[in-house]
Amino acid sequence: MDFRWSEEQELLLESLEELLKREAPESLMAELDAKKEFPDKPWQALADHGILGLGIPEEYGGAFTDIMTMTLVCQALGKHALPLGIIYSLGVITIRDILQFGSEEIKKEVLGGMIRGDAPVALGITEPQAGSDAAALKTTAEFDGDEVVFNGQKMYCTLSKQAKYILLMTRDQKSENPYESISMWLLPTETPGITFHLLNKVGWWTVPTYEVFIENVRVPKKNLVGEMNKGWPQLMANFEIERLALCAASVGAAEAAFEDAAAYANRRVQFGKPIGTFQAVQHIIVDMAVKIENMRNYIYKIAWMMDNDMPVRTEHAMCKLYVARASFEVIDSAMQILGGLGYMMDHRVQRLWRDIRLMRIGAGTDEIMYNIAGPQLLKKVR
Amino acid sequence: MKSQRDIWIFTEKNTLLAELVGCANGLAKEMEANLTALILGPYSLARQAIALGVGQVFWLGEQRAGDMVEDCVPTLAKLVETHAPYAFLMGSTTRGRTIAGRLAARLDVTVLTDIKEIKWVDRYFQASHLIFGGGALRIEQTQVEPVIATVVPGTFLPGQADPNRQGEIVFVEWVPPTWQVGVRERKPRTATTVNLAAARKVVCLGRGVARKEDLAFLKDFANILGAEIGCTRPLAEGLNWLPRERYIGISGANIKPDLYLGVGVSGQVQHTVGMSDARVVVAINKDKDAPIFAQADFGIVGDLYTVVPALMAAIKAMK
Amino acid sequence: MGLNILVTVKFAPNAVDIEVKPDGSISLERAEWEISSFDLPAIEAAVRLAEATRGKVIALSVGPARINNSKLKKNVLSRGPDELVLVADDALAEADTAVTARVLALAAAKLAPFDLLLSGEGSADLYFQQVGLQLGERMGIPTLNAIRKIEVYGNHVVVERSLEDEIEVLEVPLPAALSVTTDIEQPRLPTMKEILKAGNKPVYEWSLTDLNLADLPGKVEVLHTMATPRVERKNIRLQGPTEEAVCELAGLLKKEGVL
Repeated sequence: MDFRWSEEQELLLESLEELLKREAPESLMAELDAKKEFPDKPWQALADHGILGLGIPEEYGGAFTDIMTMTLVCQALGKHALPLGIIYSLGVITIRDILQFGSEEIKKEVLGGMIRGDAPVALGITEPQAGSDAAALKTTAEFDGDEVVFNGQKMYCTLSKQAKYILLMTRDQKSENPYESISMWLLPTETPGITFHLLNKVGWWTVPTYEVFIENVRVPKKNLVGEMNKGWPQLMANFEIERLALCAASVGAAEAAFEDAAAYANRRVQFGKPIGTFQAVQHIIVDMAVKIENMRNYIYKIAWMMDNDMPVRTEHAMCKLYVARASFEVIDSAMQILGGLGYMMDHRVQRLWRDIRLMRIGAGTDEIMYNIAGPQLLKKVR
Repeated sequence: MKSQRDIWIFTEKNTLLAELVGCANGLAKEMEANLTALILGPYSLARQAIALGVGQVFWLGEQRAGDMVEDCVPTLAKLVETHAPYAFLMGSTTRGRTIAGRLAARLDVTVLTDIKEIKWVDRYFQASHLIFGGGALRIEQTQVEPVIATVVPGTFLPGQADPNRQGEIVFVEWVPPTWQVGVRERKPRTATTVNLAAARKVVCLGRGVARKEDLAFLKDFANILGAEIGCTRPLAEGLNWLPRERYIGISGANIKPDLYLGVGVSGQVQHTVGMSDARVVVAINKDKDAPIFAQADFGIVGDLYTVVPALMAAIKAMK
Repeated sequence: MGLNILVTVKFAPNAVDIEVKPDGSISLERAEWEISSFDLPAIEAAVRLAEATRGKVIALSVGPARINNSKLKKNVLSRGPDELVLVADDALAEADTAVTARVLALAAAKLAPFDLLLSGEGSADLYFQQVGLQLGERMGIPTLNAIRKIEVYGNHVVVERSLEDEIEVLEVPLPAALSVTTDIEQPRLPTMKEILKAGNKPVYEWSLTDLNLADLPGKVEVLHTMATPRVERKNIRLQGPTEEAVCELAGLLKKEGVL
């Protein structure tokens, strides 16, 4: 078993690290966070470098890459500029949905823009009454000649205002079976009838989230992505890789926090000695490092399984469950080691702390991960 | 078999002549050698060389219109081949390094660049220079002649001029170069006479300074401290905000002030090697991981645009 | 009109990783080898000129056996050159500038005809600022340093040369050897596409025998290398709100007698 990266992966990560140092230094990320601004320039720099084209087929202007490399990219982004890792991860699912289910016309229109630096296509699933119970969504789609008319409301729709499109999930209310009555549509965000209401979150300040009101919004029928009433299985197909990408970004963030804590432990002198010489601090450091090592191995294993076309339904849920918790714990420990300084808005660990806490909730709560993995695990043992 | 040992010196920069003589004098004593200067310029310069203590001058005449200094390389090469000096010291300027390199290639010898010290030990030349961006000192020795070495301004004590000294001035024949480069234009750089090496206090500006317009308030800051302004390489070379003489670093000024205060300076070793002997080092940088902090006595992690005005106010309040 | 451009590249240990041993001597054993940083702008300048004229860039490197390393080779080729020529031999391990220039000159002669021979201003580890100049002279072509801009006009180039007191604008006949400054171009960052292509570009490995070099008498012997003595610094970080920190600093500076 060779745990080493290929030379190409090493060179790509070195190049990416250099790019992030130039275009997304910590001072800029801190400033954007304080202003709650979408990181336009750094995102554009990623586009110009070609990173946003990874995984998109060459015929649409991208460059092939495997899931392992994508995982490494998300991890590097998470470490050096977490918001970029988050935004990138959010795009992973919508890009794949469009690639797998969109018409040629939709693919050409959307993917080119994404490679050039558009904000990723936003995902419109959750509604006020439909969170973990996503199938309870109520937004409707009624046909009217060559058009389809949407009515409804979406909640926690991240980047929907920045993006050019929302991947909108609607449900045929007449059908009893939710899993065969949901459809997926491409909704341009400039279409009349859409209202955005900005939500005030604890973290993810540079990745805005909105409540979206959809009133008699009309788009051409051909904006259907995939098949009518097959939206649910289409959606499920790519949740796994989105969760993996977000996990990778979280691991990167934990690594950043670890470095901050360790550097501080070496430098901060109390009672005449660097605090890193005290056993209590060393024990925390070791626990952090063990968690990071576990998280890394977990995300790489899942990536490897996906690259080898192995099913990861149970495994990815367990991975997401573990990484969401462990990454937050590592960052929380870093804050503890940094003491008062860690609690200051000046220091980046508070930003990582606020941003990563969402991981246990977003993209599938801990509880849903348990629900996915539990029954499957029991089935394995008779 | 030579009975006489010769040390030759050459520089196109008149102000460096005295320092080269100073360097050569030390060597000449150890080797029992004679000093010869090669002069390209007016006759008065040849006389000046004699006054500095050079026994002999090979005078190449004045530079011809349209020529470049470097066109003297074939002439120098022929002289070396004819007279076989043991050592040839040149001023380390952009032109000096060109002439040294081209000459060395013609003669199939190497160049000892930017030497800090040169000695004659057991019939070997031993010279030291900084490598690894200033992190290490390498000592080399060679017997191959001539030893061509370049000398950075400010390394050696200059020789003293005495107009009563006597010496020989020999006019030498010019060898026309086989290729020439056309000089279309010369654009002067903002030249100011600043002697950074003599300044007791220096405020050094780095890449953290965002706009050229900000130099004005930073000069005010330096004035309040009674300090000279220096800078890191990008501000002099790349951005051209300040003249090259203000650049502190491995191929620039080497300073030993009482106070060095870096503003928006990251502290790469290529820069710090030029100021690491300062008595008190202060750093202001918004990157807490900037290498300068490891080399500073006092550091403030913060935005220079907030810290410097506040510091100016605090200092004024103390007076 | 495509220009044929050669660009010299040095692979050297990253000086950031030097270890100082207790006796003051230096060890580079743990240092990673990489492309000398001053060569990156030269490579970028060469590639851009080739792109503008639909020409070709061949990267050329000489050094000890370990430069024949897969990752190093891909690193260079991912930055735009079309081909790479390597002369890797441990006889070149401690080569001085004259030996390096000599080997490069023989290799470049085998790649002639070419229009431009670009080099960085010096190497990141030793920074003697000599090889480019000596190489050009050994090849008998016009050779200049400190070039910060190159414009192509058919059979000659117009360059800007950055001197201490002035900028010279010069007309240089081709072929010519130019050592370029770091501000000639900002080096591009390799993209995934370029990194993947790099592994497929031609690499030629020549031996010293291929260059008819039987022996390489060095001119200079390295006696020893010692760490430069470091002044012990207090490393005091002034914390807290700006007003307090600067007041504390002013007080400290007054105590030191520099205010």
